[in-house]
Amino acid sequence: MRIAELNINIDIFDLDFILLKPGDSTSIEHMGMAAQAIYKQNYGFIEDLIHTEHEVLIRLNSKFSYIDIERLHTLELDVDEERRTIEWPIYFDGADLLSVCDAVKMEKETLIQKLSGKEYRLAMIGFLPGFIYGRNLDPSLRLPRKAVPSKSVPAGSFAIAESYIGLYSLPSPGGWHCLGRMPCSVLNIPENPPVLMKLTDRIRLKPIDKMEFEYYLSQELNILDYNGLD
Amino acid sequence: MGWIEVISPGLYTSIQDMGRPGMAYYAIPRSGALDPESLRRANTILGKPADAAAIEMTILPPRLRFHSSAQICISGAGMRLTLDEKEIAYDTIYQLRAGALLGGRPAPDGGARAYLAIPGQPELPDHYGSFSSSENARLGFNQGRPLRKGMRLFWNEGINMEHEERPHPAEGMPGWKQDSIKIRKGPEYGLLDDASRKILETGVFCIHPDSNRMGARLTGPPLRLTDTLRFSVPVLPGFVQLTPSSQLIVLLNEAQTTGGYPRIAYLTDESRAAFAQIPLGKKFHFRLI
Repeated sequence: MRIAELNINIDIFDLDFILLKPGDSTSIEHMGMAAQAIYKQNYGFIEDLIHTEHEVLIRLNSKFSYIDIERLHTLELDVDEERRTIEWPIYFDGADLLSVCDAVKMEKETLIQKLSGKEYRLAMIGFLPGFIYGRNLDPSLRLPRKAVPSKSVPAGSFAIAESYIGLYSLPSPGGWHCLGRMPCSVLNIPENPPVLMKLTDRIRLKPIDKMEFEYYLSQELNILDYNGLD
Repeated sequence: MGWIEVISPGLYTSIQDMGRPGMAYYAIPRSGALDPESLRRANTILGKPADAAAIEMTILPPRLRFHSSAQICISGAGMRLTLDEKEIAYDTIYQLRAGALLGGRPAPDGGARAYLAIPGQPELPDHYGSFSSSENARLGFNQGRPLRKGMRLFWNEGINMEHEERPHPAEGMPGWKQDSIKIRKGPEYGLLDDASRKILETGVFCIHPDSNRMGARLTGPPLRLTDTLRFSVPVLPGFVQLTPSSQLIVLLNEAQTTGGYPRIAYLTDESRAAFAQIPLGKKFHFRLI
């Protein structure tokens, strides 16, 4: 299927950048597929490409000419490409676990079961290196971000906020509710690719206990190693 | 191989080249020199590739001892520089003996950033094609953090170029002398109310001290929106965001790659270099083109 057939709108800002936005029938998934496909093409006229669920920004360089918009329109996407399901092992011991249980009025076990009972589509990569957003958190678990963000959230923190699940690969200040930690890394800096998740991935959470957490941590596995993938 | 010892770190000193474009997809910031024109000028005068790595100095220069002889050239503005306590000029090649001490003090009215070009390359791995430091991605010298006292920078000397010591005039008008910053309408320009569109062009702004390589917070007349953004959108260095406080932020090279604030304008490439030289507190205005 070509990008033009997905009804993605293309807006150009001078010769500086292009914005791709979903048309009436474009799904969020299509936006992710389009972004990934365009990025993988490594076009000479693109300086940077940034994906978010509702918009893709393409920074152009001096090699760009209007004919390149046609090239984008006609780029084929493999809509039937097999999606990976990546398991995230999570040790649920986060600083905000109990306060979240209170806020959503659930026992810890119920909360964990609800979280682990579904697959999440990867929503975005960013805002900082190694931060991964997953989409469609169960409505019964949705909370606004914390009024007072933590000054420092540990590396590997699994957190939730609004309708998303999230992973903080690096320590950072954080406004999301930290529920646990993942012992396997998603960030692969300074190798290429620097992030081991793809926009077309699906995420499944697997609760693990402290012993497993410490074991995986000691093995220094990355998330693909853990999942038995290259 | 030569090395440089950091006697005092200056305000914010780091190794920068033209950065790593193409990595924002993975939320790795572009990094690189905030005033690429000055970086390129220093390198070109010294006979190096224009995009080569140099030392970016901010407002307060570092004190650096060169433990090997070297030829250097500094371009940019915003500080008075000395070599062995004698004032030196910008855009000029100096031959340093081993043991020479580079230092200086702020000249805040003139600008903000200067680039010290040295022959050769830093003795560092390059990451994704660049030696630039990035704090957020922990890439570059000292894990992307600025220089600290006592650190040693190792530089491979490269080819020793034969040059006479003579000043080269700066090409074109130095950006920092301009007081208007050219911008274009951003994707959310339409969300500004009418009064705010006028204020954007006529208002007087200045850079607040709570600014860094991620972004420059501006103080100025308040601007208002008729609607908000409902979701995160991609952002690039040079984008101008309007925050709920009614004040603007100009994103710079270490900025996050996505954000929820409306992008009401963006700086042109040329004006980004000029913007990087606006001293703290100096008044400027925007010009919409």
